[in-house]
Amino acid sequence: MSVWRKILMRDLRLAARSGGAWAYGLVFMALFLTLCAFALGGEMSGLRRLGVPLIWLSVLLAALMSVDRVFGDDLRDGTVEQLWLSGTSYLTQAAVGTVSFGLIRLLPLILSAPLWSLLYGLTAQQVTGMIIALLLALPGLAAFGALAGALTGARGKGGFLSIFLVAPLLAPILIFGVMAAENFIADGWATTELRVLAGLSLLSLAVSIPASAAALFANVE
Amino acid sequence: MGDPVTATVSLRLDDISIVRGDRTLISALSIYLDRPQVLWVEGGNGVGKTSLLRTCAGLSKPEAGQVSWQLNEQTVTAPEVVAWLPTEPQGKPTLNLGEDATFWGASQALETLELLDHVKTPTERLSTGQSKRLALAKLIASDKPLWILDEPLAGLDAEGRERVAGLLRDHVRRGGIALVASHAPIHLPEIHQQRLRLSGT
Repeated sequence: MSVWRKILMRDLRLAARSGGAWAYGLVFMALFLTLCAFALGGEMSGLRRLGVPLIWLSVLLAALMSVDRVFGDDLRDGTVEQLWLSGTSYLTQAAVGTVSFGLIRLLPLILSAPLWSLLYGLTAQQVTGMIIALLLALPGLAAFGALAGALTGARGKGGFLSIFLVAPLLAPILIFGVMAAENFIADGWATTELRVLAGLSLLSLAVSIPASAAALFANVE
Repeated sequence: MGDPVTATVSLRLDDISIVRGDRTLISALSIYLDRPQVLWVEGGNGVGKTSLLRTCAGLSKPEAGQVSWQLNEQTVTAPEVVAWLPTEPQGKPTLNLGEDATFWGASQALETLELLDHVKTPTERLSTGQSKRLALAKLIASDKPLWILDEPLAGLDAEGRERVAGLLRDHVRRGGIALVASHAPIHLPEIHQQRLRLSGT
C-alpha cells in the first residue's frame, strides 16, 4: 500500500503546484453550462428538463479534455520505467493512475454539479439523483480516462485520436447515467439504472486497468 | 552504502537482435558477464547504444534472442537487479530536490553527492551537473547490483567525471557490474574492465 500512498501524495502535491491546471475542467464546465443556458433562451421549464443531460455531458467532455495528464508526464520524464525497475508493476501503476485521475480530476467536477444545477433550476431530488449517478459512474469514467491517457502516451499529440477511441466506450455510461438521474425521482434507490451504472463501472475497471498497463509497457518500449 | 554486495550477479545476452524501424542495429550479439566489472559500450551516434542498454535493463524486448539476469545463480526479473540511469535524467519540475529524492527513497544518498545545500531547489532550476548528481543519488539508493548507465559522463566537468569514476570503482569493488555507454571512457585502474565497440551494420 505504501507505493499507492506515495504516488497519490505526489500527484496531489503536483496538482497543487500546477498553477490551477487541475481546475481547467471546472472552468470548462462553467463556460459550457452558462453558454448552453443562454442558447436555450433562459426559459425555466426548458432549462429544468435539459439540466441533467447537459451537466452529465459537460462532466464527460471535461474528463476527456484532461486525459493526456494521467500518464503523459510520467512517461515523458521516465518515471514510469523507473517505477517499474523499482518494483512497481505496470498493472499497479495503471491502477494508481486511475484512482489518482478519478480523485484529482473527476471528483471536483462531480462535486461542483450542485452549483451548476442552480443555473438550471433543478429540484433537490433531481440533484440528489444526478450526484448519486455521477458518483457511481466515477470509477468507470476514471478507468476509461486513464486508458485514453495511457494510449496517448508521451506524445501528447495523439490525444485527439485516443479521445475518439474512448468516447464511444463512454456512451453506455452517459445513457444509463442520465436515465438513472431522471428515474431516481420516482424510484429512489430501487432505480434499475443505478445498478446498471454500478455494473458498468466495475466492468470498465476490469477491462481498462489491464489495457492501460499494456499501453504503458508499449509506450516505455 | 559502502557495505559489500554479498550476492553475485550476472547478465546473459543470447544471440540478441535489435531492430528499430526497418534498421537492424544489432544482430546476433551474445555476452555473458558474471564477474564484477565495468563494460564500456562505445560507438558513434545512432549505432544502438541506448537501444542495447534499454534491452539489457529489461525496458524493451529484443527482436530475437533472449536477455536473462541471475542473482546467486537464480534467474530473476530485471527489476530485482537493474538500476537504470538515462542520458538526460529528469525530476518533476515543480518538486524540489528533497521531495523528489524522498519519493525515490534517496534522501540518505544526498549527503554522499553533496546535494544537501540544494534540498529546497525546484528540480527544474538545477544545473546539468546537479541533475546528474540527483540521478546518481537515486541510483546509489536503489542498491541494485547491476548498473546500466547511458552517457553518465556527458555534460560533466572534471570533478563530476571523477565522482562518477569513484562511484563506479566502489560499485565494482562491492561485487557489482556496470554497463556504461560513453563516447569517452575513463580509465579506472585496479578494476576489471571490458570494451564493446558497436559499429552499426
